[in-house]
Amino acid sequence: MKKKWWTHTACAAALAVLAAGCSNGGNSNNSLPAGKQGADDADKTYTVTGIDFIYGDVPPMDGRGVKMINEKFKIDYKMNFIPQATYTEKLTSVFASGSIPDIVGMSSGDLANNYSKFAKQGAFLALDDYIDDYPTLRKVPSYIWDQLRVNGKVYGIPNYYPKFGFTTIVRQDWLDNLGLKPPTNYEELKQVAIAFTKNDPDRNGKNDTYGIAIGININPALIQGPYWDPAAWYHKDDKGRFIPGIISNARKDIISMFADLYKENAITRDFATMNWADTNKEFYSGKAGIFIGTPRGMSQPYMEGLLQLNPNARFVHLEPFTAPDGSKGMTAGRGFSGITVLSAEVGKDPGKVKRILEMIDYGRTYYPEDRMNEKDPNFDWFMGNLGQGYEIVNGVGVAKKNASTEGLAPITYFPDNTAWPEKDSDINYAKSYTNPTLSKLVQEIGNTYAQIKYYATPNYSVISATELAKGADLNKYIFAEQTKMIAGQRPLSDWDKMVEEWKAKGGEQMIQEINAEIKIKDPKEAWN
Amino acid sequence: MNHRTWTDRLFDGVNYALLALLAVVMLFPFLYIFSVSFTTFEQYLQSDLLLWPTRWATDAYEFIFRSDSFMRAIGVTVYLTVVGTIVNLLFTTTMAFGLTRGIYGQRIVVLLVLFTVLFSAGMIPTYLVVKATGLLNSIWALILPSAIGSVSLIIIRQFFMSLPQELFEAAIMDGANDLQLFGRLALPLSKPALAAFGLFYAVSHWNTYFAGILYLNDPKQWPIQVILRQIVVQSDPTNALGAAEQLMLDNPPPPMTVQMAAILVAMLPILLVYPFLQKHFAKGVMLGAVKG
Amino acid sequence: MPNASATLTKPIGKPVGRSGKIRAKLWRDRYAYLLVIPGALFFLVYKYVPMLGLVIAFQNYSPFLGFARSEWVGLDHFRTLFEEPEVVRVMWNTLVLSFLQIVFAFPAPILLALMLNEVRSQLYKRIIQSIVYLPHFLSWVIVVGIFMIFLRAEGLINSFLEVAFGREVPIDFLTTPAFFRPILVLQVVWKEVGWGTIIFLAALAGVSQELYEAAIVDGASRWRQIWHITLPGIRSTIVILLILRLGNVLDSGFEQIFLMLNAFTMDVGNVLDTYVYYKGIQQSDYSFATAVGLFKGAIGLVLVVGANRLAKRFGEEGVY
Repeated sequence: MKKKWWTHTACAAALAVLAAGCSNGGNSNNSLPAGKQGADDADKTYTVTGIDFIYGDVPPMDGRGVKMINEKFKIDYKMNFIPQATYTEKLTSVFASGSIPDIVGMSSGDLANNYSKFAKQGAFLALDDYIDDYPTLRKVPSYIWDQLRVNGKVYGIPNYYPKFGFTTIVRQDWLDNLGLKPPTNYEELKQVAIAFTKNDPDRNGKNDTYGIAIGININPALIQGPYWDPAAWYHKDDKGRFIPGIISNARKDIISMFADLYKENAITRDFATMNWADTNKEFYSGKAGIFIGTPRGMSQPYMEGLLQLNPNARFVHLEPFTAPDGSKGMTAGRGFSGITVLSAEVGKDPGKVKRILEMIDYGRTYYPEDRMNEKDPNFDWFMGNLGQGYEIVNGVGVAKKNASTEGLAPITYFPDNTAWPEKDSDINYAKSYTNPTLSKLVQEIGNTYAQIKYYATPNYSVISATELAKGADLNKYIFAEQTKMIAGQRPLSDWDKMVEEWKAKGGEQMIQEINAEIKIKDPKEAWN
Repeated sequence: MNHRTWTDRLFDGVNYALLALLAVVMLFPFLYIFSVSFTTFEQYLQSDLLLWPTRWATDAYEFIFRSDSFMRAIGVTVYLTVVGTIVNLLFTTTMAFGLTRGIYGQRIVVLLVLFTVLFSAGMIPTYLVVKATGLLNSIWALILPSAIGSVSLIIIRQFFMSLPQELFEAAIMDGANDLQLFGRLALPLSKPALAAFGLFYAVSHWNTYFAGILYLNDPKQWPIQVILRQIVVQSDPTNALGAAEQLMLDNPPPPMTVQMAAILVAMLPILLVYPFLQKHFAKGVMLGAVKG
Repeated sequence: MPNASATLTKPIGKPVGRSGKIRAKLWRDRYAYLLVIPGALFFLVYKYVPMLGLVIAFQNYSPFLGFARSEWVGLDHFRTLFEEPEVVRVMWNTLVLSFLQIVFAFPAPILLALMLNEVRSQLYKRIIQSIVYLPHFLSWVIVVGIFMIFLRAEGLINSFLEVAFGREVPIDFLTTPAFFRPILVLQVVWKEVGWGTIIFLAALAGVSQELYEAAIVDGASRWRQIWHITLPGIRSTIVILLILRLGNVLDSGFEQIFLMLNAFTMDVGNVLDTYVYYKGIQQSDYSFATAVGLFKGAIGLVLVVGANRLAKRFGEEGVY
């Protein structure tokens, strides 16, 4: 008798599992019959569920910001924020259990993987028809929408991210002490690195400095143009096909340079074992004199740490180098980081879709500097009201320290809270730092970035199955081989052999697949 | 009678010395963590190996303790650890003992338990079952699905089996049934094992991180490790952001000093529990239990 | 005296007919069943029902499509696992590392437990115990980070060598393949030896004091006491733990190895788990990971069954 009832439980549990795993009906709370197309019942309160990843503290689910959102948009907003480190697992489990939330945040790293896979399987709502209805969506350029197309349709809203990347920065004070000028090509850069190593540029009588701070996977590779960018598909092979920079001869030159510098101890000797934090430390503790920087997301604590050690430290950034083919500029990033999608299920309720898009659109609004204060009611609401969610610093509204942790302002809860500007240079990054040296450096970099040209690498809108399956493996292999070449454990003369090995492992396949889809014929077409 | 020969003394001396050396080797890195956590970020940048802060600073700790969520998470985790460990020990010891009584199918059940040591279903199927049994968003999702550790079961069972038979024989003669044998004999005699596995289970609950995020949607219910690991971003090496992204974050990871403080705080409470359990590992706990 | 059969003493019942005997035994054992049922239920619901999900090892599982609608691929994932010639080297690396760990890292806590057991001063014992188990609480990220501070070419050990012995050229501990495995084992020992003693100390606590007293009276030295009393006292625990350890011989500590791997040590350091990671990571391939898990379990099962039989032949009880 005892046996029977727990057999029943087991069967019930088993059935439940199978049922949950099999069906994916989704969790539609407010389905309206199809006949109500286009109706948005303005008095209706919709329950909106969401899931998104977050770096740092997770705000409370019932924070002040949520209440403000509920009131303004007439919704019952239930957004689950998940720490980024475990987001994929949580997302996968939630999908597997059949209940896809209305709003799902994904990272651009997932573009070829989960985003495209799930879109093909019909998990998301196609957004093409809605783009023109919302101002911030209209602003998105077509080359970005193209990256988000699956089977011709757009399924996600991109979160703005500037398309510029990193540039090399050098200790100006060291250059001054040695009477050197900022380098304008790799040969000069090499000489500067050696000088930093041998000639005591900080004038402290000790042999404790060197040239370039580098870490694992030869990062940063001091990329001063798409010509040398290992990730850009700029060069062509002898068959006229685009190839990734990492196997190009230009890359070989860079590796060769690093190999020479390694012999002179002018790059981080332990680079093969240094993670990103360690590599930063090399530069910001004043040991290395050459590193990288960018306007958005520089670390103020690191910079201030260095300035405390070396109050005379000054920095200069390098303009892109002119390449042997005359080109000069930077590889454009994707232009977005993060994708917001709506579930296919919610598409059954057009009124709800409109309400959600209205909210998302609101969160992406761009405020010019002079309107980033309490005088603009939208900004004021978005940031949680003056004095509570934000305060004015240097004439500009800045979130209070505890605002995001305590969820005081609506901005924290939007799935996409990054403003979409008309152009990259509309955003003044220099103002986000309070340290004057850092601000100045960022300002200078920003000025350069506003004037250079950008190369839209053609592989961005192409998904290669081989890249998805073998990309990590291929990268692991080739970075390891190039690392060995730098450390002198494999001769540079083996370069072609290494490329053949890479191709045999799947690289050749990948080149074919990507070239089959690339629309342009010549890299020159991709500059803008 | 303390009749110690010189070989005895030598033995002791060498033993003590080796142990002391080992302790130093173990302690060393903690000195580093301790020092980095109590100093300023600039100090940390300057030094390769900081063994004692030259400039004391409690910024890191203030940063951690400032939030309500921290204290709340501690409360959640204490509850989880206490209740969870009790549930664990209850389920594990009962089943372990029951499997020493020679019931029908005993060998098969033990085999099935062993099987689960080698094969496990994985995250998604387990998640589906947890959902199907209605435990999502409840703290019991962190307790019931992990009620028994298969290896613990096997070892505790073995401990039970190595208890002296005579005691059980005597009790049976006196008319004891299996329950009484369990509660009045087996459990009291197994204090060392209970202490050991109690500690293992407790530490495991204290360290709950992933399950917390997976099964609980509301941050208010999250255990302490989730809160702390939001600080120590680097805790998942495979998920370490591509270098570029990490530099360009709008909220970059907190300085190393804070991360070190987080590590210490994460360990602290459970460290305090261990000394109380140590007395159960003293020699000859079963003194006088078996006579002649 | 180890029991050949894994049961404790039971009273002898009255002889009856066959089915009567069965019912009588069921009735006699009723409390034992009561004790077993809750745990058994747990295993059924939370361990065995989910195992139905192992089916994804034979599919291209998509969480959105679920078990029913995901594409069936049969043994494809197992083929992917074995398709590259690299996999032979990877398996070798995994087994060598596991072997080294069993030889060095498995006995270490036993040794330490014995040493602690011999300490007369309870206070000293407690202090040492509390210290040596600390490293267990550190994550591998921290442990590897700390080891790197010491072992880098610009690290502390090399600095020390330069200062103390005038050695100019640093030793590349981290980038020389020959050092990789020893360092790995050393890390595991350092991190886990203290924690590992707990279970042996618990077992040692059960060794009767009277045996020691009798031995001392007979004039036995410390060594003989350890050899003839202490070790046999915990032998069954050691055997069981060893058998279980063989069950995960193909596990080698993913996090630790992933952190320690670099371009130079890939050849000796790439183990099954890291190999699988690089193969499956970009696709978040749960199917592939599950397939590998099945493979590992199968191998583990063979080893455990074999080891268990062997143990029984030596008179031990074994796991089952």
